[in-house]
Amino acid sequence: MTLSLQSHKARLAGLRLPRARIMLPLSVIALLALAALFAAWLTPDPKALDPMARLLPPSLDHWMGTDQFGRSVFARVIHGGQTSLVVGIAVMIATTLAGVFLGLVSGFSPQVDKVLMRLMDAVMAIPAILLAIAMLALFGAGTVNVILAITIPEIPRMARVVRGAVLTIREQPYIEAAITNGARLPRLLVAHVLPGTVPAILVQASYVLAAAVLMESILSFLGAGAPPEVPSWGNIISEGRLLFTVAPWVVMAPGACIALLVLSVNLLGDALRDAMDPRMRRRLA
Amino acid sequence: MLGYLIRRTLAAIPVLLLVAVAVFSLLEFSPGDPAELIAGDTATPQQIAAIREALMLDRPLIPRFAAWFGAIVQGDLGVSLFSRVPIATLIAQRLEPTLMLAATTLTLVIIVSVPLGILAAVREGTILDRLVGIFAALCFSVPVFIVGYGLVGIFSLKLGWLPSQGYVPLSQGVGACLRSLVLPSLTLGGVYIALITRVTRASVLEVLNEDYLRTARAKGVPSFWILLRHALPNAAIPIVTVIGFGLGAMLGGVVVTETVFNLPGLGRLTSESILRRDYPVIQALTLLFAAVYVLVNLLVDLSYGLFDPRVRQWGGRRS
Amino acid sequence: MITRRVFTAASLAGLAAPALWLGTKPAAAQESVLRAKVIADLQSLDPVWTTAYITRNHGYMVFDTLFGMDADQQFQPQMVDTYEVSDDLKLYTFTLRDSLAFHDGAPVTSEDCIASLRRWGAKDALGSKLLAVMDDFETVDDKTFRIKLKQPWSLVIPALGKVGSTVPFIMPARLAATPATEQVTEMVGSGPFRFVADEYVPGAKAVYVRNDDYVARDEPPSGTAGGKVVNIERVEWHFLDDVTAMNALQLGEIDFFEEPSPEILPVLRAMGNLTVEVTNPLGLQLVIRPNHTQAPFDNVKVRQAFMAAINPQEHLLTYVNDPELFTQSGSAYPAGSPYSTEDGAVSYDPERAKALLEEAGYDGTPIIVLQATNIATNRIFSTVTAEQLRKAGFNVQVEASDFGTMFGRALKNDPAQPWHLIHFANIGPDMLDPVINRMVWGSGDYLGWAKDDEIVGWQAAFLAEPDFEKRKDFATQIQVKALDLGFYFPGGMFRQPYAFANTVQGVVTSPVPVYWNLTKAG
Repeated sequence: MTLSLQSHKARLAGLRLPRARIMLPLSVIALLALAALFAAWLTPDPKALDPMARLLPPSLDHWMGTDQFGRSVFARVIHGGQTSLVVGIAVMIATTLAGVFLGLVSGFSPQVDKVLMRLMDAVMAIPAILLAIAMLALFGAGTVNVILAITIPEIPRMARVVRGAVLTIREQPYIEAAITNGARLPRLLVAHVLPGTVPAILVQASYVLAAAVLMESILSFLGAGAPPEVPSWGNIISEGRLLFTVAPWVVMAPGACIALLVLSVNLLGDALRDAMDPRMRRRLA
Repeated sequence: MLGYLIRRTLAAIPVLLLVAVAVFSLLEFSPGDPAELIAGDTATPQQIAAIREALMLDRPLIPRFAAWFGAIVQGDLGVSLFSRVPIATLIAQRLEPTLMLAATTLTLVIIVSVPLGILAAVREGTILDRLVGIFAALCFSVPVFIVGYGLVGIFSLKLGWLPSQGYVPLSQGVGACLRSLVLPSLTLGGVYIALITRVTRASVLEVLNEDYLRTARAKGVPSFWILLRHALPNAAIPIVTVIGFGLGAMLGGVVVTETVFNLPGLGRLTSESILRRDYPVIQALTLLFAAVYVLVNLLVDLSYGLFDPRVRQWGGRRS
Repeated sequence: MITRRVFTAASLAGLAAPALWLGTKPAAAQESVLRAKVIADLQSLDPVWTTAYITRNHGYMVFDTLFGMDADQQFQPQMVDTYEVSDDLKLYTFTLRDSLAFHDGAPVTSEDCIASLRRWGAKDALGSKLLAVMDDFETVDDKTFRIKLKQPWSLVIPALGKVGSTVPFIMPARLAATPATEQVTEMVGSGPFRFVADEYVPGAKAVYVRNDDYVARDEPPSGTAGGKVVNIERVEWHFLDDVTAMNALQLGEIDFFEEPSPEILPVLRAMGNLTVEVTNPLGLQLVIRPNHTQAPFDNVKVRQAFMAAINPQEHLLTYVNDPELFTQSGSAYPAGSPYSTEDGAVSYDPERAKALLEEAGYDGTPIIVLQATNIATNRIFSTVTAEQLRKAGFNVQVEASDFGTMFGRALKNDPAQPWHLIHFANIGPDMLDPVINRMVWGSGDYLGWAKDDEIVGWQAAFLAEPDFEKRKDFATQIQVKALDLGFYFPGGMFRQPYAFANTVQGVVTSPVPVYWNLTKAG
């Protein structure tokens, strides 16, 4: 199973999977992201309340109905997408940055590896939900704290994935060649090792995004998520769950969005992983 | 093998110590404390200080940590700040529902996922395979509490087949106990069904495509028995690994499931203690979960020896 | 497969015995049991150590009080048989009823009462005011004791019968000797129920059984007063999530649901086998309290602007939904209660609010509204307030946290973490008069720190005045000035019904949930 630089590039370039497997989920994600991005132009004010118009079912005036404050559910869901996606993407980026750094360092230095892996073990030993709720309950529930609280438990897994890839890449002849040619460590890491880890990172990052969006909704359900003034899919559901029998649209809209996003991200991740897998490629060839 | 075990166990100790220090520091550096909440809104600063003193929250960090850790090592987990009930008692009271839930969920997951995974692998590329894939992805994507309420809506409220909430202790009948855990297990198990189906399918596929098996099949030996004899042990390792790593993530699902189904278990105790800032309980529970996680992963490593003869030879699986 | 067989057998067994879901003891199948979903999780058992409402409710199960408050907010003797007040109003003599006994068999004596009152007075605001104005207690004999005052104090009986935390429950002297900063964990009281300690799961379940030795008064029950006759042998308190409780009530897995969220009331009403009834007609008051020490709310004009910008009808409609369940009133004292008056009530006038803001020279400083996400009333009220203030020209930021954190931060009043507005939903009995209603105190030492010396003077006069009509005048004066100075915004009263199975009868009209007098058919 050789992993030369050329084959990495080839893999990324010539994906042999049916396009649909990648394009379909990607389009859904893009759609949700665009809607969230342009929320302010697409929707009325999500904060404007009107108790006389509370709990109205979906209609031409209110595309997704109104909630118990009389606020437009459509507005809240689209703005909520902003929060949920921002949280998800921020977690994904933060996890990747931290995980890549730790994984690279660990992979290359056995001494650092020993210590770091102990630390990672300790973090993994604390249940993610415990850490998240504790951080939010103790330090307050702003969006930044939510991002931190979800990121920290995800870092060890990403670090391990990167570390695993680095360990394998290290053994490659072209690395030795680069060292012999006088490549210094930082350049080595960035120019030669890092590209080899990209496939594994991409796949793991996609799962992190999905997990982050789900985790945000769970934290909101338990009362420890983003403050309700800032709508997020999680806290819209949390506020509205008592209304499920009376006004199901309040819960179904954000719930469907979460499921759709997470489903798409997972399917995309699966497709990417299958595309990177040499055995898959062999079978399809 | 024994040497490997001992080394791994010893390696766990610094991990647990780190966890203890981490959680203690987290609580230490967070703003606010339970004394104000207990004192109420008309409390004078003196009353709050008195409560703080009675709860021993005013002593400096290191002696407090040393006292607490010393007690834990001797088996004294402390008492809850709010109910003054010994934490060991609190845990004992709540242990059964959580353990039973975990056991039934695990059983359910294996019973559902392994056959599904095998099916998908054997029928690889067909509509059935696609459907199983989508089912797995869906299980993973819908938030746990929505699944829970949805199941209750169908099976309890509409059909009346199962109770909507509550835990029946084993002492009152195995049947009734299991019955109260069916919906919770299905709810909690969703994510694992997705993961393990996928992992099973991947491992079985890997084995199915080995040349010697292709030869055997070409010769006409029934493939089913080949599967059983060769593929499953191969699949067992990743399955068991997923279970091990997944245990930490499982707690999140456990907390939500116990809330939705009103199971008085450790999950709810955890989230309630955190939101209430019941420091001693939070600290004890964190350490407990960390210890369980370490233990489970140790068992997982041990089981590699069962499934993979190479491990037994080399005394450990190279990562 | 074995699992399938067990499942089938279990289903059959399950259909036959639905009562097993919440774990009744099989041997006690004939015992009458009531299962209730209570308002919060019971963590601490000592109702003097903590002010949590749920512990106070637990107190009424296990303990008894010298006086109770009936449905008309009048205080009636409960443990007290007869009492006398001297002509100079400085000497109160109480004689206890016969046959009062603690759960361990010991009779209730004056010693126990005095010790309990001392412990309560060390903790409770009203209690400490009473102790401050007292010379001392005096034991006359086992059944009689006296309270000697330095000066007349009109609230002695209301203090002994008060329903808001902290309630002066009577405990055995040996338990009352525990300092108020430590918890009493042994539940020995003289109340109509006994606490079953071995079935207690803190935060999930509490169990009470009928105290067969309790001798109830001969009158019908009303509020926390009257005869406390227990007809059910066993009461279980469960703490569940609201949606779970709703399903459980429908399926008969629980019989009683305290204060369901208003959103699910229509669903509960539609269920057909339930009674949804307001058992607490006095209700709760919407309270919005500004922080008088934090600029710009230290400027009275800004506070007045805030008062004029609030339209409480929106708050109440959003939370309670049903206009039948709330009463609009601008009085600090609950609508329908003895001191209630609309004199000085602030009307909703957004234009006036804007004008006042300009006059005050408001510079756009962010107004911080605190929010406790896990308390529905708080979350909803603060959201509506924030929007209304924004419309009036305030720059508002809502800062959310859990209740404990919010409360702690508010009390601390750290200028580095400023706050301007906090919301409460206070029970009616806590707002009845200018002494119990902390929001109209002028002493400047209660959360919010409103200060006015004239009001302090009127409050002292209120306490010294024996005539009700004259007291009412003082109360009115206090309200008018307090509202004008923006002490706080009283947003009217709202009521939260209970939901219970049709088989449950005899639910007592009372500001706190009480489980005596209930019967359960079948």
